Amino acid sequence: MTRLMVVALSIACVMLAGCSCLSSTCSPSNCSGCCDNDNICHGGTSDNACGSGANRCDICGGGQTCNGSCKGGSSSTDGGTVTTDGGGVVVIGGTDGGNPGDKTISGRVTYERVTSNFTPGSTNATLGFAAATQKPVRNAEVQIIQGTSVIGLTSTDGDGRYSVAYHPTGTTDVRVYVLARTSKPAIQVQDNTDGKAVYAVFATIGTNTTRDFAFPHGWTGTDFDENARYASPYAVLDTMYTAAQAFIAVRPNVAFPALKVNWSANNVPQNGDKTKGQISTSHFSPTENEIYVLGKSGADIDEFDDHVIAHEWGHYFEANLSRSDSPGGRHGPGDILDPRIAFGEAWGNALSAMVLKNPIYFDCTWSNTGLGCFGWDSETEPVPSDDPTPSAFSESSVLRALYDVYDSPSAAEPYDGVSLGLGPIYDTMIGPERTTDAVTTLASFITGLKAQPGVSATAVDTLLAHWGIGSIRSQFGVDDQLLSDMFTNALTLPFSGGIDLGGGNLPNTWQQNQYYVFVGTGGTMNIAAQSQYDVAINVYESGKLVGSADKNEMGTETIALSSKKDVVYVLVLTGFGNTNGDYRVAITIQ
Amino acid sequence: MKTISLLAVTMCSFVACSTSGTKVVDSAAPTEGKVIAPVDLQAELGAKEAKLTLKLEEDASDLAVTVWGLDGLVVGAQSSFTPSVTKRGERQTMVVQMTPGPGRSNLAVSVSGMFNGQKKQRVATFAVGEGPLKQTGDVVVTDQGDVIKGRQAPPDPKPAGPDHPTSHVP
Repeated sequence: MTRLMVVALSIACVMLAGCSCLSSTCSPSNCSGCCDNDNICHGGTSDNACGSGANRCDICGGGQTCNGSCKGGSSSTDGGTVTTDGGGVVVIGGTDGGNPGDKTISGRVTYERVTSNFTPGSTNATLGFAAATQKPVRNAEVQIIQGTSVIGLTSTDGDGRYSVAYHPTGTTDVRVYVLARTSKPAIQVQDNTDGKAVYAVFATIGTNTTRDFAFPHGWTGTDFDENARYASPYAVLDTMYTAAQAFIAVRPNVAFPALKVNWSANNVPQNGDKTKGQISTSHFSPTENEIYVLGKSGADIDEFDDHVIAHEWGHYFEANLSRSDSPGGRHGPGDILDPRIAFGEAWGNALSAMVLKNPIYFDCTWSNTGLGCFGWDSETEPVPSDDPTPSAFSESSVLRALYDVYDSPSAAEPYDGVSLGLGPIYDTMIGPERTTDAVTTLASFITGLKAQPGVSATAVDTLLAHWGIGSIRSQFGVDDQLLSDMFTNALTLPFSGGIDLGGGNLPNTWQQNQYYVFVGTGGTMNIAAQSQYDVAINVYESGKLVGSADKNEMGTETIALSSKKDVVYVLVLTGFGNTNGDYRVAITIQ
Repeated sequence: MKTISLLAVTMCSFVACSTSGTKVVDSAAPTEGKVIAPVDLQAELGAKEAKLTLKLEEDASDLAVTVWGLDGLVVGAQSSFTPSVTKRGERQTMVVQMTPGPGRSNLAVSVSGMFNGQKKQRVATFAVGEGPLKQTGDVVVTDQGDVIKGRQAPPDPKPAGPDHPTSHVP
């Protein structure tokens, strides 16, 4: 089947009354049939998409037919029946037991996992393709497809094994497909350069009753044989799945929203059209709520850089379960950043070390001499230090503090008496970090963490001190001098103040940002920033942007804010002065 | 004003900007991406040469620039450069001779150096020419509406044990 069918399907759907084909909000208000797991509305009368009231579509198997719902035949939950778990997530039949159709196929699915020999300080690390290991493809969706009809459905277990019953009709070939998609939680790896189709590998079943799959990495020693490069999307999927499962293990009721990850062998480090693979670099896109991963051999591939993958998953976590006020932009160890991005990037790095149970971060990329890797140790500071200016403005300091909050105590780290695991970290991120009146920095996180049951504030303070951070005692950074200095008290109105920003630095650095905290009067408040350079002002109410001004290259930016009485607001001043040296910005709030 | 500047850069990324028949391509960073060296790279792509402009976003030392071709693109004799810029905001331009590959090919550029005491690298590519992207697999739309990119599986392996090293030989 060709991509023309995708277009035809879309057009047909648009023509159907009440069909919300491209919407992500298939609901009773716009769908009288059933919603599939991509939130596409179906009429609900087909055996392959059966249901009503915008409930999740079922596939009628085991001799059942669609009559409002799947009826008749077997009442088994196996053999290809699709049900829902109440959270909108498709749940597919188990891998054993149940009532089969006429036939059954079973097997095991694995992929070649590649890792790096990188250690901190190494200069010749690379990806070890020759030492690849076979790993199970876990919780992957397995579909039995005849023509375009799905006649069987299951998922692999934790060891990659599957068994599925199906009931073929006619003489058309029947195939078993292994999709790069999990169901618990819903994660899929798709090709952004090919209509965002979900990756799958198939085999014709014929008379077989077993079919194993082993997906090779396809590396030939100098380059990939693209025709043999099967493992990549499954490696990306498995790392995402590992990250999610780490949290599910400590908080079983966590509900992760569906995640779409875009990987392609065409994904290059060039800015431009993502449908052509020009994704700039591996990243989480907050506007699309999707992740993009590099895959261009000879330039940069990230499918086996599992910390990079988990890091981006961490941004997805923030955006969907917690909150990030990070302005984004370029960053790295050694930088003195706006504390919002310092926390956000450190969170991603620390999370990758936590969920992968490996503090060694690595990222491998090409130069003209071949594939090489760099990275760092999230646990131990090297000598000489890679963190020349430790503080809450350094992603390295924040990374190691966060990792120490998580990890087990060690005799080598007498300063680290905190060992909380993921549970309290999760609780903090989805609780006080998400609702903070301030902005998301280490201050909001630590303040929220100290409020969790069983957390010793004294032990946390000792740990922070080791990493050059003060005893944070409020979401506004009280008791860490640098952090508290970021938040200018503008509670007394009218407020008139000023600050010297550091010109020539990137707009996401400490030098180019300052926060002003004020309380709404209940009326219109006039806020102004005046400078000879370009500045922007943004007003946030618990992370929600409620006022913004960025019209002029120089001069005055103003906001007329319809304020709520007694509500705390944070005004973020960002400078774009590109000439080295300080420049003055005057702020008024009245 | 930065809003206008950003818009101009984005437009140039998508269309051929007419400066002496060359196409200007910028390598801007996304909102939330991985660690890369703080350098801006811009390329003016001609038929036989690329003019690379590097701009430092932080002070740097030990800078090294290397270039190579992908998808059939071949670079000229000079494939490495040692920029002399060291201060934030400074720019340096390098001219790379190249012979594009058939259809769409890519010029790859690596910039490495010490930034804030750390060794960092940035790799960027610049597409030259037009042509279809290479794809493996065919897209199938199931009756359930799933859009699947399916590939024929490799041969059925022997049963695999748990997590044992493979004997794959490159």
